[in-house]
This record gives sequence, structure tokens and C-alpha cells, in this order.
Amino acid sequence: MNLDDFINAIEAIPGRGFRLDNNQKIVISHGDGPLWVIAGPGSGKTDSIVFRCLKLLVVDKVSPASIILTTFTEKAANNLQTRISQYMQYLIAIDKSLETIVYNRIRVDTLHGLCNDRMQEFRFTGYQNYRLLDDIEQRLFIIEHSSSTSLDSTVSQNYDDLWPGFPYVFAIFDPLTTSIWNPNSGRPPNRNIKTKGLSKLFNRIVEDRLDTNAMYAEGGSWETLVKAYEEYRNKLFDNYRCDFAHVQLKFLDFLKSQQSSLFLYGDGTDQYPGVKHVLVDEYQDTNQIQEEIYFKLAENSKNLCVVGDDDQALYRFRGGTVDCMVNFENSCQQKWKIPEITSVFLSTNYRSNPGIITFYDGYMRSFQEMSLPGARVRGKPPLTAGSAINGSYPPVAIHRGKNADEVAEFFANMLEYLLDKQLIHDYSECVLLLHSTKRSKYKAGPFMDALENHNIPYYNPRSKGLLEQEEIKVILGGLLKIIDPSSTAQRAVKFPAIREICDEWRGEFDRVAANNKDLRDYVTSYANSILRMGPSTSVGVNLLEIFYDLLNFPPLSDWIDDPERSTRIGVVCNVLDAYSNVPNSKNTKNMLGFLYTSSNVNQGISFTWRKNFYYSLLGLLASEGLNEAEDEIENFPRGRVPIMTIHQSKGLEFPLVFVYGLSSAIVDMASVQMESDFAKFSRNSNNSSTRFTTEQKVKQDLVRRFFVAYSRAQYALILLAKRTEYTRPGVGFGGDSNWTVFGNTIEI
Amino acid sequence: MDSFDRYKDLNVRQITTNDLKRKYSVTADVLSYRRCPRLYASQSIRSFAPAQPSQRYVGSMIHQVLDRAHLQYSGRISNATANQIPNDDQIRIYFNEVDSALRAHGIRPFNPELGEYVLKLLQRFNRIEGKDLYPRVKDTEHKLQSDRGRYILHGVVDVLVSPTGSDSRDVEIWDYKGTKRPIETTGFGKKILEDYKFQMLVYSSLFKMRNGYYPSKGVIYFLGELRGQTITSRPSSAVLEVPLDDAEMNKALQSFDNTVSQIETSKDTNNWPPPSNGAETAGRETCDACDLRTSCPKERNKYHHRIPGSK
Repeated sequence: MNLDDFINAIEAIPGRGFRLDNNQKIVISHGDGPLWVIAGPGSGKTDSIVFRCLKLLVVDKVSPASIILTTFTEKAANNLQTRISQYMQYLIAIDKSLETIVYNRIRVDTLHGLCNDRMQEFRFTGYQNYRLLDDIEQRLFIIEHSSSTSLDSTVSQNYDDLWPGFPYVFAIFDPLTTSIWNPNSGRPPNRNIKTKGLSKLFNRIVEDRLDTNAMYAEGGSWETLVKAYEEYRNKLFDNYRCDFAHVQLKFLDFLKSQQSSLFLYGDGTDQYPGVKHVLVDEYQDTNQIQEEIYFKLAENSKNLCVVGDDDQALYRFRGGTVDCMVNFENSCQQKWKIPEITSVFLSTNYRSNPGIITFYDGYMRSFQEMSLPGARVRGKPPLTAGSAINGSYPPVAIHRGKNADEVAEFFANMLEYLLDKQLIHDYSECVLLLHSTKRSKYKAGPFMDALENHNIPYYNPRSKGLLEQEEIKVILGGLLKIIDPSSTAQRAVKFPAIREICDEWRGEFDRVAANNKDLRDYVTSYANSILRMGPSTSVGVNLLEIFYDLLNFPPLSDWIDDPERSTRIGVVCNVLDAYSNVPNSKNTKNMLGFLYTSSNVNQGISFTWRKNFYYSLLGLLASEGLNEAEDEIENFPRGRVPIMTIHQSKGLEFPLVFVYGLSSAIVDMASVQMESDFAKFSRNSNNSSTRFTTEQKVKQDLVRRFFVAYSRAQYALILLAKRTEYTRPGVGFGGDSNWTVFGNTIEI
Repeated sequence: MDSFDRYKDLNVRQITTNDLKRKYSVTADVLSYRRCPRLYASQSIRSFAPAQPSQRYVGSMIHQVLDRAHLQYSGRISNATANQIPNDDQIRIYFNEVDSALRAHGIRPFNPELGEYVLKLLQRFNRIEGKDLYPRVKDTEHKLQSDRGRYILHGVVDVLVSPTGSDSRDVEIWDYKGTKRPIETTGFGKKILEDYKFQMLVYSSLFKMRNGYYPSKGVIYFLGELRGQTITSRPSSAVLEVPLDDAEMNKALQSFDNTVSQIETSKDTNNWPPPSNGAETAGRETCDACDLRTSCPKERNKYHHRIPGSK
């Protein structure tokens, strides 16, 4: 199939709704060399990247396994894979000879998935069978293994000059003490706060590719930080573990090693064709180490195609600073000595009602901070409307409520009206976007209450509310009744927040067990049996086995047949498993899930173990809460109103979008400050850290966040605000004091 | 409600669901579901972590150590000399490396004797088979997948073996099992063998979809047959050759499709019953290791609630 036939064929794909515009055609047809695609919201970015992949396969006859296509989430990767498969089926129906293309060998993945799988596939010696730790496991590992968090103060005091050096990650609100640690107090923060801050610092050291030798030479808190980091890294690897930041570093090591030559350069067979094309979606959130990986992957071919929107960068907290996107051309010049690269702006928006586009394009341009050099890609054209969506309804409207409850009530009423009048087909056509979806008074709480009062089903897996569920409280209560039956270790915990939540779980267990004699008797016998065991002996069951033993009794045995309850129980199972598999710092051959009795007679499970369990695992749960499990493929279920953070909504679109929190100033100040602080150790000259002030960066991040929220809407955007916000309007209202961007907005 | 009436002209086009495809594998999905839907639901749908993943120890150890042995021979392990069969000491080193890494995943042997037993099997396999087998290995942990329309079918072949030379299209697919060869005359043994053959037939079909031709045969190697100090050559019982017949392969794919449909129905109806004849289908070993055995509607009478410290 030649290029013209290919373009004709894909333009005729049924149901796509629009023809390819000239810029999309340039992206698809581009030959060899770097390609920089700056794609505004709704500009057909995903289809363009998918069609480009297909063109490589069908027209250029590139071996599928030599194409790497990465995106930001597993769900997005699955979406790309599905589109490739659907469109290929369509093309095969037109041209049978394409049947021989094994298109599912294109390596479509997240970057982390790519790193992990390729190192496994090519058996990289430095990464064989490592356990990849998620955020929770990483923190549990740090608290157990870092000398800086040791319970032995003679050990941890060696790190006491670390904490005041980085107040932005340690002087934060601590839910366990309901206070903020004072860097001038002369005392270190508690272990929970230390661990939370350390995980942020360690990840950034890796992601920003900082020069640790220079940091060490700086002395003081920098030197101590490097000592703590190196200890963590060594212990991590010694125990065959890796976190999400280091998996990228390992991959970079792999790419630079001899062991990657088969992967990078191939052996001339279809099995190992080498890397010929690298395509990166959502490039605006790429951080320093990821940029280095992409340039290394494409070093041989120079076929690096990056697609993204600098206005939609959201992930500064993971080191994604928008610089990689804005400076892509410079990077190609510096690293590859390529004087000029092909750049394409996709600026026709096919998603939104033209009124909405005018609104959010104007919104972005109303901020003086966004016109500073380096804030956006140079020469970016305004968005133009390509969608046929219209109607005499208000595309953008605002509702002013007396307070959050009133606003939430309005929201629920409007949803009811829309479905009742059949203006929508399903509640999932409307989304509520917030800065935080936690169930609390100032966040998603009032909305969840209002929807429940109206019997409107919603989907909010990230409400951090899992621990509020009956089955979870009962299981954890039962577990505590077995491992610490008289609460002796619990009483020794100094944080009321941990003791209180444990009491709540125990109380819930007692309430349910009162009507379930078998469960009650079993737990009592179980606990007594452990108490009767000799001193310093193995209990014979591990932590997870106790959890499972509880599940065999009603009502828990009935609950595991309930799809929602059992999925939530599965989350707790995995958290207990994560804790159980942390190597014991005193003997790394033993895991924390192995249980031993106290060295004192009839004291049950070791007091030290129990105390550690309260402080580390339950401390983490008490301070952070737990989210529900999410489907690995579907973004949200049909029939329920999704309540999402703006970050979660990235890459998605909804017929009706409601946004609340226009004056919210929830920003990740720590990331901005850390970035500025770390800049002097960066090896990257394109780093913007010194270009903007902290205030400017904070503002830019917020503007981009609102831009993402507003640009999700297809038919209607409804802004929800409290009356009080009008007296001191925040960033969500626009960039000038008269908030002219709201000038044509109808009030409802 | 007047303000809402402003939206009466809203005409939202119904979202056509873009059916995203789930992946199904022979062993982790289809055979697991057939063995016990209840266990499959808890581990694969609700992601419950097993309390004692020791059941996976033997299989994981065998696959990973032999993978290293094959890679050493092909020169893809750093500091290893290509075309050299590992000796017993090198197999022990690989064994120790894999053992440490498996522990990081919570997988350890039931007892230290089991570890030693598996090591001996591996060393024996290496001595008996290495010389003839390793030079013929074309690829290891060979990933295959195919788009079946509704879903993606995927599988991993342990070893691709070329009997006559590396460029030949005459390829065998090999699968290693850590167990003894199941006894064909028992009901469960027969069933297990049928499952193994099914697995090879599906892999062969996947291989054909990828390469355009079928493998010449499927070989299942039962390392458990190498137990015993006196074994110095391959016992005939160690190898089961699976003839790869076109019609049989199509039947296997059809049967795979049917089980995937059953899994999807179970998801829609949230109905994951244990097999009607309990351990006869699931296998006693599977039931013994099941964390939810004492609440199983079919098997709970055979198990007591555990109280630590009591018999």
C-alpha cells in the first residue's frame, strides 16, 4: 500500500467523523528524523500517533517489534493497542496482503512497563527478577531499613542535620499529630514524616539525574542526604528490590551496557530487529531521566517522535517540568547536532463546542505568566474549532452557591434533570472534576453526600475512603484482636490518630462479632492459642494467613462473594502482603510477615513486632488512607457519575464537565521548591528551574491544571463556585483582575 | 429548574464504547479458571495475594535456572563463555541467584529439603540433556500473542528447539514441568495431561499465527522424572511428545474461546462457583493450598479451621 492509498483508506474509516487535516497528514507522513508534535486538546493527537504507527507498518514495512510507542498510563497504552488492532483489521479487510504484519508486536507500553519488560526479556544482569515496589512498599521499605528512621536514636541522630535542610518536604501537615513539624525545634520529625519526605527526595535525586558527588561535596544537609540516599539504594538492590524511579535508572544502565545491543541494534531477524522508531505520547510530562532514556533509545535511528501539549503538563511532582517538551528542538540540536527538526502544531480542536474552545483558549492567554519565554512552546497558534457540536444552550456557564453543600445540591439536581429529560443517556456522560477527591468537608464530601441523597450512583475510587468501609474495619479489627488481644502494644503507641483508628476497627469487629458467634469464638481461641505458645518461637502462621483465616467465617465468608466488598478486601490483602514481604532489617532473610512470639512467657506476638506494625503500616494507613482498586482497563464504569481529580481526567473527554474549586490554591509547593533547590546540581542546561520564580511556577502549574479541566468538555462546561469566591477570585477565574474571560459566561 | 431549561437543546451523541481488549493466557487464565473459578476469581479478578506462594516455587525455579543455563550457552550472560555447558557449581550459583530473587517476591520452598531436591533435579537435567539440547535452543521464554477479535490471547513458550540447525523452519516447542509425569490411568492425572496437551496445541497455533508455519511437535519435559541418585540418562517417562494436528489445534482454540466466554459471563453475573465435583477437578494439591478452603462450598468439610499451635 502506498502513502496515498493509505491516507485514503484511513480517511474512510467509518465512525471517525472527520477527515484528516493537513497538519495531521504531516505527522502521519513524516519520514525519518525527529518529529515534534505540539498537539492542543482534542486535536486528534492519539489517532495521529496511531496512524503514524500504522503508516510505518503498512507503507514503510518497518518491522513491528522495532517500533516503541509509550504513553502515560496502562489504560492509555491499552487504548492505543486497541486502536491499532481495530484499524489494522480494517486495513486488512481492504488489502489482504497486510495480514502477514504481526502488528501486536509493536511495543506499546508505559515507560515503566517498557523498562521492566525489556530488562526482563533481555535478562539484564542488574535487574533479574527484582520486585518492583509501589509507593506504599517503598515507604515501608524506607521506614524499616533507613538508618535515618531507626528507632535507635543513637543511629538516627547521625542524620539530624538532614531534616531542617529540606523543610518543604518535612515541615508539612502531619495527620498523626495534626501539626506541622518545626525545623527550628531542635528535634527531628517523626518516622512517618521522615519517610514521606525521604521518598520524595530519593525519587527526585534519580529523576532529575542529580550529581550526587557535587551534592555530597556541598556538605551539611546535602552530604547527609546523599549518605541516606546511597544507603537506601544499596539496601534496595541488595534485597532484589527496585522502586519506580530506579527502574528507569537501571534501564538507562541497561541501555548503556553490552547486554542491550541485541535490543537496540538487533541481529537482522524479525525476532530482534533493533529499535527503529520511538514514539512518545504525553511528552509534556517527561522528566530528565526519561528524556535521557528516549534519546538513548533513538540514538541510532534518530527517529524520535514526541507528541504532547505544553499547556497540559501536570506532573511536576514526578519531575516532569515541561522543559523537555518546550526544549525538544534544542535537545535534538545539542545531543544529536541536528540543526533543524520538523515541528507540527495540531491546533484544530475536534472535541469541544466552539464556545468552550474560545473560553479555555482565552483563559490560557489571560495570564501574563504564560507568555514569559520558556513557559510555552514558541509560536504556538490559537486553537481553532473543528467540531460540529452546537446548540442554543450555554456552552460555558457558572453557578454561584451559598456554600459547598448548596453547590453540591445544585449539581445533583442538575444531573437528575438532565437524565430525567433524556438530555443525557447515562450519568457517566457527566464528570465532576476536583483538585482532590478525598471524602472530606472541603473536598468531595459534600458532593458524595448530595449524590447519595439523590440516589445518584457515583464512582470515586480515589476518595481515600476504603478504610471507612464496614468489611475493612471488621477484618482489621479482627486482625488486631488476634495479634494484640489486650491492646498492650496499641496503648504504647504515642499517636492518638493511630490508637483511635485501631479502636474504631476493634469496635466495628465487636459489633459484627456480637451477632456472629463462630467468628467471635474463633478469634478468641486463635489469640489465646498464640498467648499459650512458648517464648521466642515461630507462631506457625504468617500475617497473611491470619487474614485469610478470618475470611472463612460469616459474615466475611459471605462478603467475599460480593464483587464490591471483595475487591476492597483484595486491596487490604495486597497492603498486608506488601508489609509481609518487607525484609526484616535485623535479618533480611526473614520478612516482616513472619511472626514470632515474645521472649517473655505468655506475651503473645513479639512486642517489638507489634509496635513496629502499628507505627509503620498502620501509621501509614492512618495518615494516608487507602484508595479503592481501579479496573486496569476501563477508566470508569457506565451508569455512575465519575468524580475525578483533574490529574485523573488527563487524556479523557466527557460530554458535560463540572469543575469545582476555582479559587483553590492546592499546589504542590514542595515540588516547586525542591526543583529550585536541586537545580544547582542538575546536569541539564535546559532546566527552567532558575528561569522562573517559585511564585511564577506555582501559578503556571495551576493555570495548566485548570486548562486541562476545562478542555475535557465536549458539549458543556459548568463551573461551580461558592459566593465567597467572588470576593477573592482564584486562578480558576482567569488571569486578569476583571476576569474578562468570564465575561460571556452565563450564570445559572 | 428554570436555569436547567437552558439546556433543553442539548443533544449529546451517545458514547459508543470502544471495546478495550483484555488479555487472556493459557495457564494464568483459562486453565486456572477451568480448575476452579472460585480460586481464579480471588486471585486474578480481585487480586488477592496468596499467603504461601510456595506452590509456585518449583516451577519458577526450574524455568529461571534453565533459562540462565540456556543463556549462558548462547553467550547472553555477561562473563559467561558461549557454547559451554554449565557445570554443577554454575547451576548452583544460578539456583542461589534465583532463590534470592524469588524470596523478594515472597516465593520460598515449603522446607529447605525441597530446595535441595529441585537443585539436584536441575543439575541432573543439565548433565543429561545439556550437551544435545543447548546447542539446538533457538529461543527461550518466547512470547507469543494473537488478537482474537474480542480479546488478546497470549502465552510464553519455555524453549524453541531446532532439531536440525538454527536456520531450519523445523522447530519444536518445549515446555518444562517440575512434577513427575501424571499417571494417565487416574482421572485427575488424565485431566492434567489433557491440560498440558491443550497448552501445547494453543501455543502451536499462536506460533503459526506469528511465523506462518506450525512447529513440528510439542515436547513436554517432566523434570520430576529425574528424581533418584542413579539416574544418568533420560528416562522415557520424562518426555511426552504432543502431535500437532491441524484439527486438534483448531479445536483447542475454539475451546479457549469458549472458556474466555465463560470467564466473561462469570464477570457479568459475579458467579464463580467451585467446580461441581470439587477437588476431583481442581486437584487435591490446589485445594490444600487454597487460602479460602475452609469456606469452600464443595470442600470445606475436608478441612478444619486453623488454630496455630494446635494439631
